[in-house]
Amino acid sequence: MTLAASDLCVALDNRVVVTDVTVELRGRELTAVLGPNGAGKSTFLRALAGLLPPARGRVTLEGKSIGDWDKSRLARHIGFLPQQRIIHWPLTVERTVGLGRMPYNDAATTGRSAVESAMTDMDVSQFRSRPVTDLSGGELARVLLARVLAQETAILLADEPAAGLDPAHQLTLLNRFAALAKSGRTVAIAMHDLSLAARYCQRIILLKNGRVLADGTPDTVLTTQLLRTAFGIDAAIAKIDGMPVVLPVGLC
Amino acid sequence: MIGRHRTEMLLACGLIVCFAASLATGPAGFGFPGGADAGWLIFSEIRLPRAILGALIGAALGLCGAALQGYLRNPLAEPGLLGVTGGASLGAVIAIHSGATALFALALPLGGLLGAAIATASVLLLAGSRSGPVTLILAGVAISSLAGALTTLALNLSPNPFAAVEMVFWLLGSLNDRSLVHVWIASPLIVAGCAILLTLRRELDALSLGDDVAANLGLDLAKVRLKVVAGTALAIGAATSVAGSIGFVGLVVPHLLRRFAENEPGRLLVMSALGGAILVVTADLILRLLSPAGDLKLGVLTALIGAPFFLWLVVKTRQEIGP
Repeated sequence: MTLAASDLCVALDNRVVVTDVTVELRGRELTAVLGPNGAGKSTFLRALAGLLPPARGRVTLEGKSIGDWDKSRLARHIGFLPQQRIIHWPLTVERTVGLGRMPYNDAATTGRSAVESAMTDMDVSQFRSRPVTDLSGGELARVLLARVLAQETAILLADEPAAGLDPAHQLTLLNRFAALAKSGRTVAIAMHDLSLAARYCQRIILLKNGRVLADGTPDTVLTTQLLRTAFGIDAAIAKIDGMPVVLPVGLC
Repeated sequence: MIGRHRTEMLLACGLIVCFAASLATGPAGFGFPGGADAGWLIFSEIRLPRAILGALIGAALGLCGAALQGYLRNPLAEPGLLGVTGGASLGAVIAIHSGATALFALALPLGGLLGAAIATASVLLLAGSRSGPVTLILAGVAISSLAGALTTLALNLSPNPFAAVEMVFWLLGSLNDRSLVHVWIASPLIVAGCAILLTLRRELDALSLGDDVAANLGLDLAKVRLKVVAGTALAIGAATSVAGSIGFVGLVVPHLLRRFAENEPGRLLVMSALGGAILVVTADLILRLLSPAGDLKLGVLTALIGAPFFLWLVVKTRQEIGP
């Protein structure tokens, strides 16, 4: 499925946070949305998910404006994982992941296996009966990821999903996202780890001050010049065992 | 299936027992003494309306408390938070103050319903169409405070001491002297309000993960908000209009039952409705036996139960989070 933004402007409290963004997210592509704090990554992803109305421009899914989609049908196409890990009540892990099946009304059969599969993928099956409020930050992050995986959408938008995860679970997560993209899904994730972005993503959208500074393959976007402009850092870019490594070495 | 719904089934059985006890017991004794005619009169004119209203009002209070706690994601939310109770109380007090109740007995519940409707419309208008839970709480508290101030003004300016006493007694909440007419006035609205709230089970569960996740799961947040307000307004407006203000039930019952619902706000709805009904029917039955003349009011008894519960909650919370 194709999710596109054209001339997208999004405002929060009358302050324009995303300005004139035109991108098209395609299937079979794992896209990283990078940028410094306050660049507009979260707002951009929320607008793409249809959670924020554009102040100008439009977001379309399969050519149809996202606001015109039926909300339940849209929920079967776009899964969104927010940056804030909000839990208001101590639901069990299993129930929390099970909420991902809400758009389908299929708790008995397909839903059951989707929930089990998502819990296994995110390595949370072993504490399925525990209240989510009793989990560590990393465990909770994995449970919430499992919830969005159980939603089984063609498009997955995740806002800093790797934050708080240990290195093993970060790699598991990125491998899972890469596999989803390879299977035909459209996956876009906001993240800060430049090396993981370079290693796993086919495409990188670099934002600064709400605008697209660069959009392309990791080789073309993760350059010393663009990283200096976006983040104000000097970075060393190398390859170790054939894998790209981007190391911030100092402030400009 | 039965295992998962065991608590609901136990509560339903408990309600049937309490309801039957309420029908069979009163100041005249157990059963229906005084011959067939007198017994039938006691049953149909006194005990049946009280038992039905007690069950309906208790269910409304418990259910609305659970729905509001789930929607506002605040364990301290209770049905009076949206200003409906305050509005209905003000409407009823104005009906007494203006002398309308002397001319037309049903002016009291109808005044309450009108007050509840005006308060609900004011809260919605004040909160705006796109507001979130916090703005809704603020608007509810503002309208509730205004209604409370106007109620005390009406008491202050009461035309005579008897009217003042009538207003105060009504505000304390009671099922004394309620007839089947009151049942016919309140029950359709309470049932409609409860039915609306019971459609929100999955929505309240989804809101546990925040507004963004709930919206991403396909929820229309504006529609959910409207259903919560409309359901609460209908059920609590009608309940307060016929029985006055009965506090603490909507706060205490969901708290007590939350762990049996595995903290699922949606599952808590039915349990709280049943639990609220049991509490109010039982409290009314105790009152009838302890205070046959109706000196002790239902709202006072529920408050006497509720306040110690709060104290227990403070002690428990302190033990859990430390000094």
